[in-house]
Amino acid sequence: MTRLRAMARACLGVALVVFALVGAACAGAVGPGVGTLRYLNRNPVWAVNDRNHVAEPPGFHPEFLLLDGFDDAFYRRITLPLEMREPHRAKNVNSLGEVPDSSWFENRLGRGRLTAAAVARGPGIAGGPDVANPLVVVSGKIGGASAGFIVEDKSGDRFIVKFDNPSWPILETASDVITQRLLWALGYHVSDNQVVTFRRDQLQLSPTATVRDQHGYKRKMTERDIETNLARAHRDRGGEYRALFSRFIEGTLLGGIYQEGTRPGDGNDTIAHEYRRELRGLRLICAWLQHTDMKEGNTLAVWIEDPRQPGVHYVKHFLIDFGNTLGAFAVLGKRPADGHVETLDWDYFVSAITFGLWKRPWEGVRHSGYEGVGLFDVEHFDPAGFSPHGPYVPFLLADPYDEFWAAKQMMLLTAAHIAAAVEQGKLRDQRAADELQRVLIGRQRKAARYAFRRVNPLDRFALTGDGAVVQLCFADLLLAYGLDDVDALSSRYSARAYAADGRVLGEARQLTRRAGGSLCSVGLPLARTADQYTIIRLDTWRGSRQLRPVEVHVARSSASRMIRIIGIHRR
Amino acid sequence: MDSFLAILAIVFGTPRAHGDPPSPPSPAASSEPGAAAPAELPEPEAASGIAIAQPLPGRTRRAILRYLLFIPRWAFTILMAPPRGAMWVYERYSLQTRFEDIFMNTEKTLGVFPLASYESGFGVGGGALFFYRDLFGKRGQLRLSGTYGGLERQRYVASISTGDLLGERVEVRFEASYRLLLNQLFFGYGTRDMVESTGGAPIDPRDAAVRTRYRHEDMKGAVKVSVEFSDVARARLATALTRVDFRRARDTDGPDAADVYDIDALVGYRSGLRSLYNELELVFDTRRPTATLVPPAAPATGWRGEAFIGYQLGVVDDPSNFFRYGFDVRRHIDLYAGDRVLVLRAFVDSVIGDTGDIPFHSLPRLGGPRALRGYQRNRFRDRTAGFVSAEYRYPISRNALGFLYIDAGSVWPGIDAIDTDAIGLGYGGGFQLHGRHTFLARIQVLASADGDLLFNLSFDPVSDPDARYSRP
Repeated sequence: MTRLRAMARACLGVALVVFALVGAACAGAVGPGVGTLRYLNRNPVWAVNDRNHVAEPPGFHPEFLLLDGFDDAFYRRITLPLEMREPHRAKNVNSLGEVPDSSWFENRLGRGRLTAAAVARGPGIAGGPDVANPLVVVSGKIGGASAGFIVEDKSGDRFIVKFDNPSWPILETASDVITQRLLWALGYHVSDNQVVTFRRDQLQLSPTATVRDQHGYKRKMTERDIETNLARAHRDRGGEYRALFSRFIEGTLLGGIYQEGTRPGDGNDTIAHEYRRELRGLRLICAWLQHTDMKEGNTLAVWIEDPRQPGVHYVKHFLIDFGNTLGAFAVLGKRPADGHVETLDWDYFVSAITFGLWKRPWEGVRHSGYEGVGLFDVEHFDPAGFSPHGPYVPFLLADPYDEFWAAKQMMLLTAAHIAAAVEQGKLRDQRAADELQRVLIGRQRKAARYAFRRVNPLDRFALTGDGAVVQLCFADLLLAYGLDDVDALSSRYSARAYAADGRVLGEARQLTRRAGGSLCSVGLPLARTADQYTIIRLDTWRGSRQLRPVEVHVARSSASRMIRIIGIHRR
Repeated sequence: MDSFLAILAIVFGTPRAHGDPPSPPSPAASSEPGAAAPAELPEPEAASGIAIAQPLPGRTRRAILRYLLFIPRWAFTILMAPPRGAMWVYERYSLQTRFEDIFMNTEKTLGVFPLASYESGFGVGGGALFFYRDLFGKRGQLRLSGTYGGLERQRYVASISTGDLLGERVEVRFEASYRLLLNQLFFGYGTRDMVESTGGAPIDPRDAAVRTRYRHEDMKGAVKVSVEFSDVARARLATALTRVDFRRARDTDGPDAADVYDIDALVGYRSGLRSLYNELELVFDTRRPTATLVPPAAPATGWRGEAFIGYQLGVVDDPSNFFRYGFDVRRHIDLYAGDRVLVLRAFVDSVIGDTGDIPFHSLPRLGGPRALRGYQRNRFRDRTAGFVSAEYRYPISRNALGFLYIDAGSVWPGIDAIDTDAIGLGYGGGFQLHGRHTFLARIQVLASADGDLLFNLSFDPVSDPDARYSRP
């Protein structure tokens, strides 16, 4: 009995230690004062150099659908937690938590210069293929399930041509172009895609055209191959074919972007991809667009020549193939659960053991009935529960700060931007376009509300004053965008300044929110050091719940002698 | 000051509603592509501008756990290496394509499929199905299949159907088969409770139910003509010439039928069967899904009614001379959302003729994975068999559903002797895989009120619960 008691005591002791360890970790130690993080006294970096010359194209990264699917759905699900990785935040961000311009991403919206017309134009500079002249079919399409081939227009530009499923005309081509335009506007590099209509007599077969049969054997392409493809394509009443023309990306194709680690042979690729904010934050953007086919195979790395530095080659990173977005796959793949569960998912297990009593999150999703619109609604959209077909490691590691960044980017897209993108889908029915725009805006706001609620969503910081005291103005994005009326009534804020060594510089000041969600704290004292490095801690309460503080680091520039924000730390 | 005002103007915009969102933060105060040559830009790792990093909480704890978890992680990695390697080889060397190159033609109208099944008491069976789906250029089918093991030690079936050769509504099918079943089950006639052994001299099959085995070998040639009246109604006329021989079972897990029962009371056992069977079957099928994205392989509503009448006549020494008739009615009821479905079913199979003219093998039977599930295959046999069933199907994924069922039924000496005195009750559940239009596999656990517990797994279309119930 004594031994039993001793064992029980030992177990209790171990349990208490574990509890204490877990508790300490969970608490996150957000007490009073400021953290130990300090920034260099310099302007935030908005572009990085990852375009150094890579002499040889790195090796091709083939896609293994089965193995990758197994690894993503099962193997990495087990090994990833066992690795006990440090919960690192994204590593490629600047001191404001933003993603600098690189071979991966470009702050198009962030510059505030992107017009709706620019979104309509997208990445294309030439405006699609020259359809006034014959289109020469040069080969069959490689990969993918849909019909298609490769054509060359008179100017020598090559395009992959893909068609809609005849049972669901317009759907894939429209979804692809709309998503492509939106992702481009958000800052991602994408292929140049256009919806184009043409007649059969505009197609000419190149005498050197080849095609691969289903077994991969190359042979001469014939007119019959074109007819076979066109027979699987949607043709409108006027006899014209509608297709997606995707311009060939110049350069050496290197295959998909590794979802973990870096690409061997690319000296510029120094940050493991799972720690890139634009990839981790993409989870929320994919949720918004129901881009469930996000995987390595739908990304592309290309070894290209830098147009600004002839002779210099580097690896540029693209997102490609968006035909399964905006609920298109749910319809084409007959998969109403699209976006809610992975191909292998616990939800299926739960479904199996609950005998149909559980009303699953995706049940009740109804098709709008509009041509060219997928199974895509606002009501059943759950940003937290979004799942692509298979786990994507950067998504698994995404934290609330990555999604906060993504939500900020998304909310910079205006209704006009979205309308311009939808217009490029060339839907035949204006009601379908209106419906799609309505759903996109509804989901955009829902996604942003979700992301802004997970962090202390203070942003748009601006500093005024240049003496011993400054005024810091900022906005509570959740309220600024009118995403939550309840929190608007219960939100309170305070600000307090600290020196770089953590000393308190003054009393905490309660702030009052102005109309529109903006707040200003006047008379914040600055540290009396040479660089006046000061940390302004901002606290937010939603009712009685205190959010994790935001620390705004300011310092005087040695060059301009101006006080400016050098970093923002979200604890 | 200008740059400061620029920051102020761009960074701090008046917050607005969605349609007119605020201006974004400006990168104007820093370096941009185009504004500076790449070489002058910082390296990616230097973007964060962090001079002193914030230590991560719980770092030591994680480091300790990382070292502790090293062993299970590598053990799992090593464990997973063979299947992952196999997958890599499969894709790297395009084994599926190579398989299709060898086993299928380019149009996939000709090829070979594997077949597999497992059933408690019979073990594992496997085989292959060869098909050609464009016979005569009219979608006619040639099918050759062979399986070994399981319920049927050997089964070889060859069939040819005319497809659209005789029009879209008429199809003729020729079929020839050979089957060797080494360990068929025989429990006597009627519904007596099962006993381990009777001991002593052979008994009348009506006196006791003992689990016995016998060997069954048959050859059959059949011609079947199907006529489709509409999309929901069709008729089928079939003529089959059958030869069946019965012998002692070998290497069985129980007594042989000949050792327990008086085989002279088993009509046709000694002589075997050489019979001609003709049957007319009428089918009415309105089943369909009610939701757009639910596959037709899992219909949610509608009826399937099947009625048949047949006549079997023995040739040579076969004493067969009887009529067979029955019906099988199913009603699918959409309970919720088109994928919670209740399938109600009533089934009757009966024979008319003198007792001495009806071979024991031809008597209606119940038990097994399809009729009065939960009982052993052929557990009950008599002149009339009937059961009712309620099966609840619920969705799991696009290609899988779960089901729970309860079956109740019995056998009787005649249609006029039906009563509810000895109703058998089976229950269980399982999972079914299906394609968009086709059944793929069923795995089920079957139990009975009498204590049976069986397991059944089948990748064979003959296990499709919605398919026609085949007569012996």
